[in-house]
Amino acid sequence: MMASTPNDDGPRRILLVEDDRDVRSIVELALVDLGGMEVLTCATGTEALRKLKSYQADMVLLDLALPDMDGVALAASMSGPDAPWTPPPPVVFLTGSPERARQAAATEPSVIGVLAKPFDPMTLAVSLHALWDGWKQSETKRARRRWFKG
Amino acid sequence: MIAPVQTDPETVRVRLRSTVAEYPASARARVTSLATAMARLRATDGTDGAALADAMSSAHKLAGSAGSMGFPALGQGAAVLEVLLKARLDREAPNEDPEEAAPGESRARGAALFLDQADLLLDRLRCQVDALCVDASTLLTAAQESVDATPGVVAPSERRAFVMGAADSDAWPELMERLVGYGWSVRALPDGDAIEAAAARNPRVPVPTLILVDLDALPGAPAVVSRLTGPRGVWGGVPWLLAARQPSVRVRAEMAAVGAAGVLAAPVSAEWLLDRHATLCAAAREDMPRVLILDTDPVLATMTRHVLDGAGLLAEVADTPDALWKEVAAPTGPDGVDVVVLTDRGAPSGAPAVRDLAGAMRRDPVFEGSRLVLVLSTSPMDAVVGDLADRADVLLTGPLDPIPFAATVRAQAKRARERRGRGRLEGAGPVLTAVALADALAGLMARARRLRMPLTMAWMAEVGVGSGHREEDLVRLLRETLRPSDRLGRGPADGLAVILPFTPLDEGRAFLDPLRGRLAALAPGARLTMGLTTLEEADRDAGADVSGEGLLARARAAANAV
Repeated sequence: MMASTPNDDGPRRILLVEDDRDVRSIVELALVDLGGMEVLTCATGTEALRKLKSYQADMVLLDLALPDMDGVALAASMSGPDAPWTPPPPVVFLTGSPERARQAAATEPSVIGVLAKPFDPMTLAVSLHALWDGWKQSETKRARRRWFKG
Repeated sequence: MIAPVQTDPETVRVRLRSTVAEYPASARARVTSLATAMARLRATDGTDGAALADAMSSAHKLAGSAGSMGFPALGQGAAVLEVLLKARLDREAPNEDPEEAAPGESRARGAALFLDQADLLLDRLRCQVDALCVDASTLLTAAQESVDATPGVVAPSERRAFVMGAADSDAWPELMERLVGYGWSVRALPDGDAIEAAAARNPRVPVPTLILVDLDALPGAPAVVSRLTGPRGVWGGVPWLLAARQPSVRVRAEMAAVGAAGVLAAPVSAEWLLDRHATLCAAAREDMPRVLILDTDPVLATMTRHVLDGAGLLAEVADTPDALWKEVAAPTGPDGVDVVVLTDRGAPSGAPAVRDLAGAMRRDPVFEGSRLVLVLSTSPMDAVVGDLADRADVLLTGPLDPIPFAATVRAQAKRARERRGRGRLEGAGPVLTAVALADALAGLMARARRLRMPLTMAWMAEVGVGSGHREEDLVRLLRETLRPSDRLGRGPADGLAVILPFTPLDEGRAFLDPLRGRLAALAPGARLTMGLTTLEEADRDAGADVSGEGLLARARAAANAV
């Protein structure tokens, strides 16, 4: 297993798992053209798990309803014992069923946020940055707590 | 730290246009696959679970993508169909208890109604998709706005926060950055001149959703913002909050009196601000028109509720006629039920027919303040239409077209509110009737106790001359003097009662005492007798929570003619 080294200044490499071609194209535009990020897209959960072995994503942007598996199950697989990266990349759900995603986020530690569809492409990148900042702050606090305890 | 967003507006516009330009063809294909699934569903009288799931998936995808591509109306239309299909799918789940399942005839009727409604929604989607115009995408108009916007607007968004007086503070850039992160546009206005300019001299500046004022940096700003957000201001009704280091109760009361939604202790975090805004929205939601739906078909009731919720109405579904009666009879005053939507699907055996229910509602005084919208799906309708038309305010036929239906219910809610408002005022107002004043006083007293905020109660009357006609002068004087948060109503002994929320006694006295001289100047020979008390004093002296009646009596007893 390889150790990931999260960027301090925001997510740069995004793995987008989304089966709708229209949504993929508008997310790519929002993150690449407007947000200056790199985006690798997948249409299924199986494809996402395969690509994650070679692609070290800073963040995974994940649809909840995928053709081959549930987004919640995929998020759990990405952070499970067979996950290719340690620690696993943080996951953000991008979904038309935000209530269900929020319930799932409460039980799956790798999920750091939920964004609802339809979304505003003009502010999607800054929303991801805000979620990233919040996650980094909590990670730092957690590490400090571990250091004091240890 | 937010990454720099590409600033070349022309490049952004070209890329957006090319992405959006591909969407109409894609949406058409999606509607075609939706129609195919719906046709399969109709061929099996709505029983093909796989077709239902396929149709729902297509509607879900259309709802998600259309809004993101800048076609919100199409997205909302698809979302209504998705809600209807999902409600049907949940209802028709294979593990449904067979003992609870509807009998065959009722099930067939439910399926027919569902299919008719779904077909109508599908037709509307077809029309919307056929009319899709790339230039109408809000993404392209938003991109245009962002190019045209004056510096300071970080990103175009429906939600805009104006932050005032933040120029010299170290903590505020982080707040603004995180607000942007949560999808808000933020405009920083450094001083009073900038506020005035934004409000009056720059027509391109959009109306803010929320205003935050740094009270320490701009102590004079509340007067300006109060005016701008007042009933006649260009930002009328926009909520505004203040941030101040160690704000005193007095400052809080003063700011509440000029219309601020609250004072936050600085430094203010974005999360705190957004939570406060959400609370304000929730409070506003309590004022939303209330609609009760009685529909024997739970699938269609779910859709109806979704449509009305989306139109800004607070819609609830009553499970039974008894529940409907109970809900309508319970509340009084402005919180009552504005509209009842009663749907005739053909009554299940044992249930009262809709015509009987409508007739009973019309005869029952508890429904006096509510408007009745009847939706008929009975076929043939000729037999019942004439009968029901006498009993309803509006008669509609199903299946429902969401947009005109929501507009109709909204209009009915408005009429109900106007009518109820008239009933609460003496004549054309502004004096609340004694009953309405008692309602308002009870609510304000409860709030004052909960928030530990002062509340002053005043009682006043004209004396000395034949004052019957002179009260008009006093009422007009009060109408022009009182603040938006104050309440004027009929008090004991035929006097007038004034409630001053968030106001301590000395401030209330200073506020109302000048009325004596002004009334004397307006109506020579008229004298004003006035008594004031506070809720805190009354509770303390009584050793318990006094009633509204007790507080009014105490204010009346304190009156002294001058």
